[in-house]
Amino acid sequence: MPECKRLLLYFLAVSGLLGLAGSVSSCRPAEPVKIQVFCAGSLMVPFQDMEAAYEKAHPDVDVLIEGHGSIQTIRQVTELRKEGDVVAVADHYLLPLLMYSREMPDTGEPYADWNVAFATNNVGLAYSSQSKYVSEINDQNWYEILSRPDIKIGMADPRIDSCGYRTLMICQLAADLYQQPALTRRITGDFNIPLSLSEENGQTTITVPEVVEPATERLLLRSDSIWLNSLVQSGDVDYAFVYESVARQQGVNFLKLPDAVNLSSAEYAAFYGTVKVKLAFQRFASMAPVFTGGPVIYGITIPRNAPHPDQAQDFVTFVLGPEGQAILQQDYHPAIIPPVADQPGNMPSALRAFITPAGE
Amino acid sequence: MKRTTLFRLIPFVLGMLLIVAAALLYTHPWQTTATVEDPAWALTLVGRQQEQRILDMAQIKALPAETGRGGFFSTVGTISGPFEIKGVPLIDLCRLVGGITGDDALFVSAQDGYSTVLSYNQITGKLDTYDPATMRVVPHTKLDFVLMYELDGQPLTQDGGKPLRMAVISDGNLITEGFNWVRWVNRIEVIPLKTAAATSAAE
Repeated sequence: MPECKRLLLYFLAVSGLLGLAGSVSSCRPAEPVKIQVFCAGSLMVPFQDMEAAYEKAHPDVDVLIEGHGSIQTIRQVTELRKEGDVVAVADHYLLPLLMYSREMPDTGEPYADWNVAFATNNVGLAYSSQSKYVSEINDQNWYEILSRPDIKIGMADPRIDSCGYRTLMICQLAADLYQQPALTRRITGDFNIPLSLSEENGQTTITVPEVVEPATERLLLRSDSIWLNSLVQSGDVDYAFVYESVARQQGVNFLKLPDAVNLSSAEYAAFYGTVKVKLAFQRFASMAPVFTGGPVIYGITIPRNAPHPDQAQDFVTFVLGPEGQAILQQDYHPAIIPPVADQPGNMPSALRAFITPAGE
Repeated sequence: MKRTTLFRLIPFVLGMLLIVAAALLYTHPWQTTATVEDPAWALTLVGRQQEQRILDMAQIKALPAETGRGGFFSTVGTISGPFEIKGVPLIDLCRLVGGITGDDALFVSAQDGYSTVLSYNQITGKLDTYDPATMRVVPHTKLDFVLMYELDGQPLTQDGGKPLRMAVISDGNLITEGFNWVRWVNRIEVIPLKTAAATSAAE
């Protein structure tokens, strides 16, 4: 059977070569495990700093950070089916809404079933030393200054960016708080297609039309609030509504508005909840475009289909622990200490040491 | 068969298993990207009066194409392009279903559930364009929204929005905000803008 022997020798040689290749590769230093972190754009600076600090302590792990708007961040995993190890968003309510209620096609399980509220933020005013009335403005008269006809204002597009619809909420909360019923219009100026306002059971709903185009040059819109700081610095606008962390990270002056309207304080959660913004078009099929006012709270989770759950858990431990909290503070991003979990029973047990169950 | 012969076959079997495993690893798409893939792709156009046309890729490519340069920047500032872009102007597609006027908007949606709305002003050129080197707003003299099917002379990749992606081209090497660059476009609808609700936001 010489043919059979030749064949056998051939396969033995192949398997030998493969074995050799395997043993050679095992002698090389192991490639770092790559873990994919999807996060909200406003978390990019602290998460990039955390990536550097974590990788220094864990050279066997390569943390890949990718930033998007919060809804897009979740869609990377749930709709675009990208493999993600960690998901962190600027509104923790989005995680139950878009991940707990959505099943993975392979297993029928939800994409996630817990999240931890780990950071906050607030929306206020970025300004420069050249901004009009800069020597006068403060947290008591800001709405009067912004109502003046010669002021130019920047805000994020409420159809696209959470800071945009939160800006409308802030204007409406201020209108109620300061008894200034026409305040939103005075601040933003007119739109080609007007925003509409309705009230029911003590709740005000601002409806944003399909097209949002300022009718005057008073207001400049950008699709994302991170671009507003450069408008302030260049003098294209006098004031812009932005997240405090992003303004301070970019070295821009920031006027903090009173807690009653700046969407930072749990104490005012009920008052914030009296305003709702409804978008007239549905940007994402999976997401009803209605947003109710509430404190800005960032949430983090590990998807149930994370390809590297152990490493993901270790990275989240770092984010929630003292080193992660210190980096958040260093980047002007207020941490929630201790972090609060909505479903601690569903979390990896190692993470429970860092959190407080919701409601306690 | 003797037991010793069976033992000798073990390396053979292991070798075969290794080869099969290697072949599987090579061919299986472990690195999944977007899963929007449909060989029978069609673009649905809907007019203001609900006129409807469905175009396949061959019909789209048979329409007069426009080329130009354009790029975009993402939410977090990542700049892509500018690229050499080829596609069909949105205005021309609207004309196939009755056209678009200043009283209308254009609803553009994609197979992955994403959508955006453009005003008539925007699709006729009133849009901020940016210098990619400075990220400052710079003026343009000509600007078009197109439904792109070719980028730098190549068909679009799956992750790049294959087969059709919205794009903005201009007369310069300019970029625009990325949220309008909708991937996997499969429906374009001319919608009459609703009049404002009873109470204006300011009143």
